[in-house]
Amino acid sequence: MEALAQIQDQLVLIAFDPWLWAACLAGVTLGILWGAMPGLSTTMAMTLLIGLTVGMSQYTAIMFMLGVYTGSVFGGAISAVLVNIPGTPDAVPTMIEGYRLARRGEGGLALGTAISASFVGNWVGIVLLIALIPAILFLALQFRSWEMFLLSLWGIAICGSMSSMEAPIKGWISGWIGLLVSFVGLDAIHGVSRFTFGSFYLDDGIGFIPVLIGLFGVSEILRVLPQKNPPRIPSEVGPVLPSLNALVKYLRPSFRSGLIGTVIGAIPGAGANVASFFAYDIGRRRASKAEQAKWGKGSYEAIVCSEVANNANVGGSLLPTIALGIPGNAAAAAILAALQLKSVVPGPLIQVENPGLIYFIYIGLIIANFFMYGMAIALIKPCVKLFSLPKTLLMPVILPICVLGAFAVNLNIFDVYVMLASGLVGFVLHRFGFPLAPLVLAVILGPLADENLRRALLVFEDTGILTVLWERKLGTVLLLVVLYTFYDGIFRRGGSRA
Amino acid sequence: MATSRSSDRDAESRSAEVEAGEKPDRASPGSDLAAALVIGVFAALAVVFSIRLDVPGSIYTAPGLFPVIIGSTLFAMAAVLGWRAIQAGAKFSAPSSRRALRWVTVTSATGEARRTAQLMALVTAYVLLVGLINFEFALPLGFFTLRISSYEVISVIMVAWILRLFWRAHPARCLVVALVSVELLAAIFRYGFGIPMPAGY
Repeated sequence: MEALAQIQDQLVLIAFDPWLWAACLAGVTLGILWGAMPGLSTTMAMTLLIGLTVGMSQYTAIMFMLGVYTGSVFGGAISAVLVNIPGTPDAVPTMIEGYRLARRGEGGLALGTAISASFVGNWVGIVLLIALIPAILFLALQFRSWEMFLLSLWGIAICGSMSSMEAPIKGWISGWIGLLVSFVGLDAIHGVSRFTFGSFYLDDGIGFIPVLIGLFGVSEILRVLPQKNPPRIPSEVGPVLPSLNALVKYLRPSFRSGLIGTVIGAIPGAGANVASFFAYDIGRRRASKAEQAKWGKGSYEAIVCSEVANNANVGGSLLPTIALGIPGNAAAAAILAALQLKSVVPGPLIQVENPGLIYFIYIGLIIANFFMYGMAIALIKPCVKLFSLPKTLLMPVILPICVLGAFAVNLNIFDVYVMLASGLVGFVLHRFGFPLAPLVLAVILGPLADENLRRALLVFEDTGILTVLWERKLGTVLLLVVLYTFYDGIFRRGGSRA
Repeated sequence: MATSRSSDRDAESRSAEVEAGEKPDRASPGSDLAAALVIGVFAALAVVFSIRLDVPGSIYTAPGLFPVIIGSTLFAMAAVLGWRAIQAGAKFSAPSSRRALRWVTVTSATGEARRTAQLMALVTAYVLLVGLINFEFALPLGFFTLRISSYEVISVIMVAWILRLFWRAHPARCLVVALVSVELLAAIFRYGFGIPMPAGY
């Protein structure tokens, strides 16, 4: 009864405060536009836009940040589908499928599907956030160092085999190169400089944002611009919203991907990029034979899997953030910072110290989701028109955005050089048939995998590996899944070409 | 001349097949072998440098532990890739200056390769100039201070140059497009998000 009264109070508060609606709409719009810019991630949007909340009231600030979070996660799909450059790392699977559809003149429908999937994904995340808090928290807390290491490794392995279906070994090589790149800098446990060769600039490591912009932005420019007749997206938008039949058809993959996105979001450290790749891979395995043939060549179901998962991740990542005070991912850490800026300390006592706030956040997410849907639909036609301009005109204009995007993360010109080097390396790797997505994911997940493996090995030293494998059932299952992923890539999918 | 035109056509048809980055280029066994050799050397170096790292505590928390594992497995993967390439018909031969000269001649004869080299040089020059040149003008206009940084000046010039080479519009049109796009972008970042320009901090 007390909960119902609190929900009612929050509904009344929101309904009669137009500033809350305005803040949410502004946050969603800024988030979509930010996410659509190549390489500018959700985390970066959240971090930089926190500054705008300083003058806002507690509730307005939270509403604004929830809007930014929801909008920017979807925004990454816009440039991924229309320019073949993912706005955010988690939009890479959407890019693989969506751009091919856009080339066939189905850019509008591909984006419409991504929007609907994002909308559904957010709903799944919100519903599961409300309904499954105890169960998901229990599962998330089972993930310790060993499980986190295996989860990171699985992410890279899956990404490698998914993005290089004919020769998974090339995808894994790309991922392994990314892991080596991620080791550059001071190591997190002892503070020993690794592969810095005495350079002060390398002590902080190589950031994934400049690498992402370089690999997908600069190398795309280098690849497309010199072609005599670069590919162009048709300017006719065509039908935008998927039919009701299509939505019903994708109901099962949506629910499955939503569950994956929420659970992975609830695991501290595992972000939307892991969620979207997992859902993408599992989606392919569970799809019909006919649909599997379309996978990688422009599949709507694949877009649904990826977009539902990365949007459901929003709700999932807020789960440990609100309930335990442990952010589910970097973007959720920005929400945590925004809440603390407004004197809210998330954690087990949040309902005692701020009664009803948790319901305010649920309602805020629902409103942000509706705004995201409306704004995204409104932005499809202008975006398709804009990105259907000749590539020879569009690509040179994107170049300064790449430079600013790489610089803006740390306000460090060294990151711009990293972006350039990544672009040149990415261009060469692509020419030699190596996919780039595993490299980026490995640069993101590398530090997480490294730190957790070494922590886990310390535990093994005391208890013995066999005891750990027997007692930590979740870790053992994950280990088998990782081994199966490699087996599947080498012996079944790739055959002799693996 | 005929060779040049046909190789140009080959390059363009290959580009069309690859569809501009939708998927990685399909590499020949020869290029797979070359890639395997380079990656093998890179992996071996990674292992050597990892082994030489300090071990402050237990071997289980050694900073070089995971890099050694990754470097070794990367080396193994490169060996498998090279082995597959040899099985597919690639032949290993030591690099010679004659073959290198022939490769450069054939590559530079294709229009796309020439344009790619040109673009790479321009993009590299652009990034280096943004990093090396550093100034910002501030013009107080009473209620507002107009700022122009070296980033904007360099970006406008370089983007206009790239547009002229690849878009092939009139130079004035290229300059206007470059000016409007760069200034719009700079205004959004500087005044909208409060992010300084690369040279303006």
